[in-house]
Amino acid sequence: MRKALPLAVTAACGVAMLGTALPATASETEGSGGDAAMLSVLHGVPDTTVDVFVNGERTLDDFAPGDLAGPLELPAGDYEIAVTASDAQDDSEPVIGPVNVTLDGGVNYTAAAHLDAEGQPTATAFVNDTSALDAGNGRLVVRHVAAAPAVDVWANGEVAVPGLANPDEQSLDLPAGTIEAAVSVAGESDPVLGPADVEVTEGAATIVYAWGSAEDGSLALATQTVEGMHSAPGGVPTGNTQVPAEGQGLWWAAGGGALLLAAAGAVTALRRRTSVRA
Amino acid sequence: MASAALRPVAPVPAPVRLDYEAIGAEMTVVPTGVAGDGQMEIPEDASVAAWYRFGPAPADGEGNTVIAAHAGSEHTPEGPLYALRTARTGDTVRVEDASGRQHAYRVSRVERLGKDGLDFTPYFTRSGPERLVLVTCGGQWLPERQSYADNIIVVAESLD
Repeated sequence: MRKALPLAVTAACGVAMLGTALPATASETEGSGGDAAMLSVLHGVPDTTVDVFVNGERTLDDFAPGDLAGPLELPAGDYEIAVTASDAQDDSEPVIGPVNVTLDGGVNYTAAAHLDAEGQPTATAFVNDTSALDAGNGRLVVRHVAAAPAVDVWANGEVAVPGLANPDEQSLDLPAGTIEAAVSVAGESDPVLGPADVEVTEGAATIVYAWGSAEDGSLALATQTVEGMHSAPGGVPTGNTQVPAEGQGLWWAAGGGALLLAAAGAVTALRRRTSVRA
Repeated sequence: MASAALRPVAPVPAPVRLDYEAIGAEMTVVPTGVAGDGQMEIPEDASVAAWYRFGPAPADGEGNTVIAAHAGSEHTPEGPLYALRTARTGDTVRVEDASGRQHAYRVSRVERLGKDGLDFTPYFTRSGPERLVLVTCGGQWLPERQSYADNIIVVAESLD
């Protein structure tokens, strides 16, 4: 789902976004030069349905825990984002924020409303790495936004990311396919989440969030996919064996123009004679 | 907004059969991906065609479905797609997908391009009009490389 915010929204002043300032990774991701920023919003606070206000306008209504909204396509610039109770008349009494954030053009963001490690509501704006992937690869990103201690993230029975703490993230480029993912308390092997099959999509970022609260038994996984980072294969190697007819002297004419295929022999006699147009 | 809970990805029916009557090519199509060297993975046997499974399928209704096969192989000295060099603009090509649906295309371009430095990005596009792209090798056989010098690329537009 994608929707553009009304232009009036951007004209308002006052600016902010969920919770904390942008993490340092913001400066590490180069904008692609586009004018618009992409913003998704994840609701990772258990038990509370909320509304999200952007620059004073109610943008997400009755936003439920575990839901992902967006991406919203927003003009680059400064925004104020506030999260309120779902029956709020306006954003004057936010439960999270308001927070000011600057969205750079061509950058893809996810703002997560979530609990900090101690269980207090907060928010983090993540920058989604949209740099190109090699053909055949996908990007797996894990984000810890749960009220829980540092965790180890397991992939196919091995620790892939050790000691991930709230609100940190880790990114891995790996061959596309299904992995069995699990989350344990750091240094332990019993999963507190999973194991669950996670599809690492080729050419895309598959972002897995651990959210909820360990103490309340509400830990859960949420996923987001950001597409469009695929690359074409480096080549199409379809000619590793010489077709026998050519060994009998049926060579291609050199040069860039039309090529005449001499028709000789039983094999080619069955085929239409013509030229290949370059 | 939608739940971000984990859920399986619903696959699109894969192409399973290629029928290019005008050049006498009728082939089984199997899904492949990327080989260790970063190139498209191609079945050993030239009688079997590869569909690039990371890109669009005909049922996606947009972007390029890429199907490729060896010009020849040990088991099949002359593969059906060897005849791609005789492809003509206006030819009709049919692809059947795993759901049994037939997709028809009309050839709009026949190209022979040197492999060296060839950028396949436009041929593997995942957006834009629904097209079929057929690829094999052609041009001069280079004994020192044990490979043909060129790719033959046929682009066809959807008739659906």
